[in-house]
Amino acid sequence: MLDPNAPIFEVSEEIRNSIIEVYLRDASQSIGEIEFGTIQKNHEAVRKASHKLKGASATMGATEMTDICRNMENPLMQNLEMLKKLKTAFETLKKSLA
Amino acid sequence: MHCLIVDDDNTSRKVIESFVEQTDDLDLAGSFENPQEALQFLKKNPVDVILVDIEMPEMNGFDMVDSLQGNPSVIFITGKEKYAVEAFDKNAIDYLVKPVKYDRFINALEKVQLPDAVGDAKFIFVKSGSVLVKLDIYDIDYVESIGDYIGVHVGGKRYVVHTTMKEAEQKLPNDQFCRIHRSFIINFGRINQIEENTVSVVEKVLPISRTYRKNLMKRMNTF
Repeated sequence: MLDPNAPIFEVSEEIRNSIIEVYLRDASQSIGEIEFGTIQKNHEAVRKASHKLKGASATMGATEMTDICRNMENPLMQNLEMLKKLKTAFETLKKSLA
Repeated sequence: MHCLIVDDDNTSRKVIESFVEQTDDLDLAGSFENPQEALQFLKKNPVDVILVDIEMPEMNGFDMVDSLQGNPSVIFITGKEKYAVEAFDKNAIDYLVKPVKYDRFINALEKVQLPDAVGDAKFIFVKSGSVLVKLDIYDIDYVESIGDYIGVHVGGKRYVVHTTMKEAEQKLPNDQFCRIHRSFIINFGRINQIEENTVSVVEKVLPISRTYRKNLMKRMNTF
């Protein structure tokens, strides 16, 4: 599920595992902020949270998450359908990392 | 070389920390989520290079660089390409777009130029026992790190001095001396032979680290 060419695979397995923990925790928080911002139609809040999650996801090699976050940086793409895609992608990713 | 990382994204920051950890001759002086805290730290702990994100909630990377005291090298690490022009206007030595791969990270660090503070000095005094010995700088074969000390090797003799490799590197003229490893600085004039990962200086074989090899080879006069 993760792109094997991502930077996360250039660090030791022990460190990688600790970074995955950090990523999952932070991603969950970012998704919460994106959800709240999408419902409130707070475009700037959604853009900021999406930008942050995009960078972390790219570092992890979570390509689907990265692509969805890139879309959600655009106010025109900030909607409940895109949010659902993001949450589904995250759940799939979590399962693959479990 | 001492570096500082500033990035509000924990995942990216931890990966860069790990890259620093696995790089010879690079020490992590600090790693911060918040640029304001990084600036406070830098007031008392100057570094050679700062690796800084641009879009951060507390303060953006450009504003942080504008607030810097001293003149550390700056490498921006960010998720967007659109800031590149402004980054180089801020005299960044490089601009990395996330996700940052280790090779690209090393390539950026190779552009860091440490200060050359030697001036016109031809001699250097080293303490040997209770006396100060005057050495012609160009007679020095190589310098090695020995914990909190350095060993200055001159014609088969070793003078042990309580100082750092960084300070030694600054005091030796960079047209004649070159750092080849976290633990070694060599005199170009004393090189006999260079192999893949080692260099023979006088009769001693010394390691060349990956970080410094490119710089060494660039400075050699080769066919």
